[in-house]
Amino acid sequence: MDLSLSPTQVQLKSSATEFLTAELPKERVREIDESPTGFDADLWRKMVDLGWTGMAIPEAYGGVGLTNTDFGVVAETLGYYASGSPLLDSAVLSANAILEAGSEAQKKEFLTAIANGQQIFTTAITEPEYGWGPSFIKMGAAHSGRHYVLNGTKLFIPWAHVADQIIVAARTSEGATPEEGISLFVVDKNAKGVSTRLMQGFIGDKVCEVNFNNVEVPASHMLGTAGHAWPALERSMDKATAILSTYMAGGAWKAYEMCRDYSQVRIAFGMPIGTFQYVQGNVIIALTESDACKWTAYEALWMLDTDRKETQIGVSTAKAVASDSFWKACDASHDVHGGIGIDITFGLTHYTKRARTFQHYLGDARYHRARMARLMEL
Amino acid sequence: MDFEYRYSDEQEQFRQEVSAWLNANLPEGLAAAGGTPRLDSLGWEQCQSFRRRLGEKGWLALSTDLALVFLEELGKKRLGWLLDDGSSAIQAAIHRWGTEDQKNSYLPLLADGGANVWRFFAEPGVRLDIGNLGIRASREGDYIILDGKDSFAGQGLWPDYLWTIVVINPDFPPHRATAAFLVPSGLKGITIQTPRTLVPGQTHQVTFDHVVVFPDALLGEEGNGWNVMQSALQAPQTIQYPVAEDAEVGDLLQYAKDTARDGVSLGKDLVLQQLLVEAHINSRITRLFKMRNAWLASTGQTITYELAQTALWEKQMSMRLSRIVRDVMGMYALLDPQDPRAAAKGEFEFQQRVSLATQNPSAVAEPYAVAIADALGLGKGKESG
Repeated sequence: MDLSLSPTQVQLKSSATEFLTAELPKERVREIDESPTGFDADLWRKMVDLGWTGMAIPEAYGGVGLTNTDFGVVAETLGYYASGSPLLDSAVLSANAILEAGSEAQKKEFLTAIANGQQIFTTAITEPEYGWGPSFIKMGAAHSGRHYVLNGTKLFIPWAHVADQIIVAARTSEGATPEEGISLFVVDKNAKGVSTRLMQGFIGDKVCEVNFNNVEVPASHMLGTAGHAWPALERSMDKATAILSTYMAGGAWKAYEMCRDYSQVRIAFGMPIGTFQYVQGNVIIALTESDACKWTAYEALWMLDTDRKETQIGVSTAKAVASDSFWKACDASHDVHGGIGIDITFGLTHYTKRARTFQHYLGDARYHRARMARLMEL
Repeated sequence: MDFEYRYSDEQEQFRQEVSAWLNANLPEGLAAAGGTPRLDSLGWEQCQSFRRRLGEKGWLALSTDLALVFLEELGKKRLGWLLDDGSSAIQAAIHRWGTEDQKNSYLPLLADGGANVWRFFAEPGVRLDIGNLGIRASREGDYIILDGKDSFAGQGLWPDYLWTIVVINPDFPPHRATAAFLVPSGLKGITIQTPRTLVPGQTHQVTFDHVVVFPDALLGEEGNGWNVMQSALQAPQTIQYPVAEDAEVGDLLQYAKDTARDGVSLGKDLVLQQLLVEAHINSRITRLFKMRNAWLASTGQTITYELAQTALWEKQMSMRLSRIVRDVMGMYALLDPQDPRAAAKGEFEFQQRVSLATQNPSAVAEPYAVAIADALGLGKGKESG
């Protein structure tokens, strides 16, 4: 047992911290979040230059081929700085879907484009009848000659408005089980019939409604074989879910640090509010929730990297914990901060809205507990 | 990162030896006790006798690596609590702070299982509260006189020694005011009461009425008593890698799989599924926290809030598990081993009791919260940045 970071991971953490400290002060986070797209192309280009878009991609396809834990270390740092970008969706979820299901030619074409930052990918799974299991994928893709024709709506799709390509999970046939009949298509975001709309609200990373109206997709843009994409998609989601959980751990830790520090400088009744038991209790909640989030996430990444047989249970454990821990840490932090916590310029809400968004993204705690019950054969 | 504990060949060989010996020598009464140490006086005698046999085998003073395997094998018999007697902490204290005479006298005795030690209850990492110490020491010639009353933690109905913390220099600052003594329990003036609690036989009230103690009972320097105990509670050999998965949660999951209501397995009930998996997740977090603590201790890294955090989490999760058990099992959760309808030898009923008394005799979470707050520097204030 060795819970320390490897020299590579220490280096990644150090460079990510240095970069984000310089590039992403809380004022900049707010400016980016409040901009029309919520996307900073200049910052994205610098992330590409750091090689982050190629971390999960093998060297043969233009990436660096680092481990999931390596990526998790960077993601944890991104979470700590409330960084919003398509990195997870493009360079982890979409890249792994291509790696898992794509042909050699597709890997060379698409993965190289992701790794070198030429293109941003996102993956469209959820629909108006929201859910993360295979039974919730109902959008149809009809075979027509050399094309498939996609019709339907995908909801809460991260960064689709700035993406170049969208990997769409659609049903090409009905199967005996929900898993059967699901196919993956790489769809050009600018193709005829594709429209995106940035969804509005108290949302962290940007999400979109994407409508497909008789969108013709060449059969050559199908990843894998028709109707058998779910296992590959599920494996991709597991990797993205575990890495997202480290992002959430980083955010939860920042929420903890903010309330710890604030409790030491805010004076009430002539003494620091950290003297009061109720405040201490909230700081401890934030601390323990972020620790639980961190260790379950890293254990899941270790399971992925070492191909353990209980990996899926480990991933769902991590996300079930992260989904609740992040918002609990933020809520506890708000309880300590009081009024200043909801001041947009103060910075805590950068984390709060991401906690609430990522609580659901890639499955909430209830979904993952139900998945675990199935995997544990309860 | 590597979350797997890898056993050496020596450990695996030792495991086989322990397993075979336990299968051949475990007394029937203890085997039947399982995870529920609610023993009568005869049972405690049997327990002490068995502990001495373990001592004869040399298994009460093992290296950290072998102690882990031994605890795992006892755990398979649901007897891990046999080692939950604080002997590893007192051994650590004597190793670090004891005189040569104390080491020669006590360490063989503890290793042989020939001494049952109860200790003043102090939570690891907790700040000293002088006002909370019930025993005072004074000098009378060459002797120390102890007077007062305090709570002690320990197994059985009678100890051989009492490891106590007393106020010896009341006018000094707290960090120089206390002393630790290892007192033979048979001294004149010591009376012991074991109150009837939900978990009998584990916490005790000990009264010292003008008890005359030889100066060589002092463990460590005078004035440094609190530090002696705290250092022992946080010693690497006291902070062990967590043994196998949580047996209580495992039993609950199995119960849910095996038990049907209205023709449907409890494990298939969508509401209960959520609760069962939550219990599993909470036990995983406990295990990960303990792994982290063991890793920090074994690699010599500074431990600040982590031990108190784990203890507080365990206490809270024990209460949570208690509720989940009731939700899953209903009234069956409340049946003890004497009831023929009890599930898992009444283990779940015992959990209902233990959850209300876990971790400390006062059964409150506050000491841990205070310890964490101290470690984080809360309330001390700092310059506003």
